[in-house]
Amino acid sequence: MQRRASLLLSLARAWSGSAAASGLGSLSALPAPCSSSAAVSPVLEALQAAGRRWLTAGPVAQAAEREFITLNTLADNPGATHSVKRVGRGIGSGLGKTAGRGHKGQKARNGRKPRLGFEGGQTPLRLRVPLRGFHNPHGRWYRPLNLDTLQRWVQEGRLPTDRVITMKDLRDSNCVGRKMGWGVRLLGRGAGRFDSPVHLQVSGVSDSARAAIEKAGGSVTTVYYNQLGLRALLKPDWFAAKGRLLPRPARPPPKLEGRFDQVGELPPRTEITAAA
Amino acid sequence: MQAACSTFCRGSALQAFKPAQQQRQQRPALVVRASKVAEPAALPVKTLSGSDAGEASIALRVAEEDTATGLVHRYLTTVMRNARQGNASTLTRSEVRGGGRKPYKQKGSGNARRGTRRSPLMPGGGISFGPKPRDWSISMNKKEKKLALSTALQSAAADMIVCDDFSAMAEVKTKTLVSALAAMGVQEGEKVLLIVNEPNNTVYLSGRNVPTLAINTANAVQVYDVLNADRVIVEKAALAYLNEWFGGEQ
Repeated sequence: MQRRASLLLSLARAWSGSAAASGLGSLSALPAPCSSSAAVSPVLEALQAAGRRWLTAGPVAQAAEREFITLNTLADNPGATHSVKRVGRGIGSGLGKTAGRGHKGQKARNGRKPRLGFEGGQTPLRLRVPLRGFHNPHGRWYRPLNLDTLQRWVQEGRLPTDRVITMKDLRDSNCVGRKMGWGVRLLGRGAGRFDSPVHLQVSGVSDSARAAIEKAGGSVTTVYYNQLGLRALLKPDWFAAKGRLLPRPARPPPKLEGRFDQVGELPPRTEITAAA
Repeated sequence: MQAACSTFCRGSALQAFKPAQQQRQQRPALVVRASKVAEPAALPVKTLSGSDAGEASIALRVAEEDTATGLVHRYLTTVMRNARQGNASTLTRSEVRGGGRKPYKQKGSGNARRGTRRSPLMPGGGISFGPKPRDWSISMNKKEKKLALSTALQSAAADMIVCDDFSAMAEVKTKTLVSALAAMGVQEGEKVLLIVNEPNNTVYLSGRNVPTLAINTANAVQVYDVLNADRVIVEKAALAYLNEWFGGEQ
């Protein structure tokens, strides 16, 4: 088995990173660990003498004890499989006769169990707990976009850097998904690592995100779109196909006055102005 | 030649034959980053007459040590499961002929109550949870499959011998092929896997009747043949292909 044992080493050495290939020797003469040929400490010598190399050379040691790959030594990784519990197959299994159901009663029967949430007649949890809250039909929600995702997209070249990035660019490049409520809100996860000078038009931005973008040399403009306007921004072809013109951009309602830098344009102007 | 070579590779699975050049041009590069190139293993090179002709090396990508065996095991089970026909079939109590009438009245006969002649409790009855025709195939990631085959090949490198091309074989003669293999060092009764670079009808027909010989083309090596073989004979061009496809910088 000489040649097979020697091959074990080459498999092992690939992972130990040792470049000191002293030829394909026998198992009893494993090569020195990857550190150079400096003076060997007594501790190291002791370990080597004991044949335990894991402190010095990493995974090389395991190779000596592992079997190589043949049909009769194949097995899946430990933990890859587990045996299925089979009930009703004899006393020795521990799950014979009553098969884990105890004795008699409704729960022991075939096909009969109380409905979910039933607590035997006691007032169930869903009735004991009080109702809370109300549903706000005028609620608005925004799709969050963090700076780390934005950075990744810009570095991969999926977003334009020579013009202002609108929410349509974000949607088309799949930076955000199809459902974005009333727009995209820029948030600051990854702000510390953000360094791409980009100019954005989004529905909202957090303070830390704005600071990070401006520090990197970019700019953020919050724009207001209502639902129709957002649709016209993201899918202008839908209007053309129906023979309609793009709608006029709507002012924000009085409640939201002052929360946006500007009203979103349709179609948006995307030249980078010096002021931005 | 194409019709004969449609079952060229001896092994559990039959493959559609494609000319080697055409297949290689169409194959995209498959980069497997979760792997490392093994240290090159030296292989003896022999001529067809058995004389030494130097050394070659094989350095393919291998998986991590603690998962390499598991990976190859999973690949082999995938291949063998996919080869299953899944034709085993039994009849349930509803499919067995007969058994519609209640054999005797419910009470008074002294025997256990019966509703049908064909219940699984009785001889001649249906089978409770027997096999039905089913699809046993499973899928595995392409990169995992490639890495598994590469690991298996590298771990068989200890038993590999590189040889000259067999394309020089003129006539279809089993004796010639077997004696050539014996001259290269194959012992009596050893199982051999011969990896050729291009499908060669002469070699295939010469070796078809040898039960311990399997012939694979380099671009379609079968993992079962690799693991089963005691010796692996690789043509030089096939070795170059393996080193390029499974090894190399990625």
